[in-house]
Amino acid sequence: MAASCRLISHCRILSRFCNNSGISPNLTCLQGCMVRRGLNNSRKYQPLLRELYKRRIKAGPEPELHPSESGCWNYNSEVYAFGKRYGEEFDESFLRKAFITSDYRQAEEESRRQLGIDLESVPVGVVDNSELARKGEQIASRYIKAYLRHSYPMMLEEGIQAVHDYLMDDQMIYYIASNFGLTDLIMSPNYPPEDHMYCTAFKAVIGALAESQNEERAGLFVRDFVVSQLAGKNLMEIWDVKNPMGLLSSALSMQGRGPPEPRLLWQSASATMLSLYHVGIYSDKQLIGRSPGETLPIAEEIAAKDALSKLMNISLTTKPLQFGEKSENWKYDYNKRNQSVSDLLQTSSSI
Amino acid sequence: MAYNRVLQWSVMTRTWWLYDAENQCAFRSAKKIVNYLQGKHKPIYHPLSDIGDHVVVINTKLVAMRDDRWRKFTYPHHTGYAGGFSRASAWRLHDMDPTKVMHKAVYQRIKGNLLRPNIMRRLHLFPDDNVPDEIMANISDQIQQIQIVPKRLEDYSQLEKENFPQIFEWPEKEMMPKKKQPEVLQTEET
Repeated sequence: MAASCRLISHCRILSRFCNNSGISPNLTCLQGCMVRRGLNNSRKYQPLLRELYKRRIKAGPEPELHPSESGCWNYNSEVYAFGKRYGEEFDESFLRKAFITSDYRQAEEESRRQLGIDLESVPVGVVDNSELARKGEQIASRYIKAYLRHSYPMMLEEGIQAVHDYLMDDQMIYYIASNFGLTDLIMSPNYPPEDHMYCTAFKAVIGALAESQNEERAGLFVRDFVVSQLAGKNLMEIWDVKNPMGLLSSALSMQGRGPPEPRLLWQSASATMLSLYHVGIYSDKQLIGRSPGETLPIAEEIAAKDALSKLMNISLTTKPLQFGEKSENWKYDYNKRNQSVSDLLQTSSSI
Repeated sequence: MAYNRVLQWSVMTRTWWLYDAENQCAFRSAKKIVNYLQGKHKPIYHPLSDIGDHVVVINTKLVAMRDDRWRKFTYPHHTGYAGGFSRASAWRLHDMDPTKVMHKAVYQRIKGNLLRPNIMRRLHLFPDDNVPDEIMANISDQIQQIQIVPKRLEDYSQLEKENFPQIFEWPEKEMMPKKKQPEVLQTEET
């Protein structure tokens, strides 16, 4: 009786494997991979599991498949939902265009050519997103600079440029775009799309929004999704100032204040590897910046940067960037420029 | 402040403290010193984190004990062999090694886990105020003493003693006559 029971259960296990894989017991599925105690544990069962495990490792991971491979996929509704998800009214033809990569267009043309269709008489009718992306990049770049100049009127133009470059860098745009729900929508010959396709598609979405509504609305989109990456970031870490002490002294002299004077506030463990120095920068007997550091030069340099950030009103203690309703009705002067380092040096030398 | 890197460095470095043990109770001093050794004075303290500071204790030769504890307080010791038990009174242990009383007081205050040896390595004991320069260079601050150091009679100058306010003057007959110094005999040999 017991033997027959075991036989039946064993058959049941094997049949389950066969059903799941769809073919024979040389399987890729690991369902039921657990130790069965008592009578159900056949002597051949564990070697089988071991073999299955080895084959699974050898076969490697499953290729990542587009959701449309699962059968339940409606591209139209997904494109519509994409716009609604971000609360924007897109013109659907522009939005569709934003997702078509140049690689996809070329692959489409190639397939037609192989079929023997003359491309000139019967055009593909597919326009890729490169033009929209160019427009989107232009809008984003222009808006970011205007927003930063408006938020930080005391910041030097070089700093504005550095922060702008940080935001418009491919790495940052890819980071935003890869978390933006674009993966399934981008039309590319391969799935998942390559990194540069994300960047282009995201910029093209900005361009599509400008085409659908207006540039102002696209600017607000850039503010909400790109500029907001600056929240909580230290701008002096993004902007690498080469000679902070020299810049500080010229900035102070232009304001008619005394030259910067670094002083050691206190030190600890100087004769060990974990040495610590706190340096303060004074001007006219006023503490204008301070910082700790491993060595005196490092502490002095960073204290000078701290003083600079306070002069330019961009330190971490200043008012945070304004998003949402607070900056909804800001009027930007796109032609305005902040003071640059060269202006500063000329003015300070003339004084 | 700029730069999180240096801020973190500033948080994680070990500060060096100075403690003057002159005329201080060894046991109550230890209670204060272990807080610094274990890092309990820091907001980032956690019992399993190794974030304690260094403490340099000077003048351990001059630690104080209440009442007649130097005589009555004993330190037991067992060699581990049969009949190997011995006990030394505090004054005797102090006589053998002037830093030992302070060392034991701090050691007994720290919980007996695997961090204790490393915590003890950060305690630097000196019997007097002769501290090597490389250790003095590290010190950035001092720990406040737990009790006021009393001023001894010999520390007062003659002028201060004469000007000390007195409620009344003792009559001549009540004052102890000054002891006569024995005259040195002038012998012919010398």
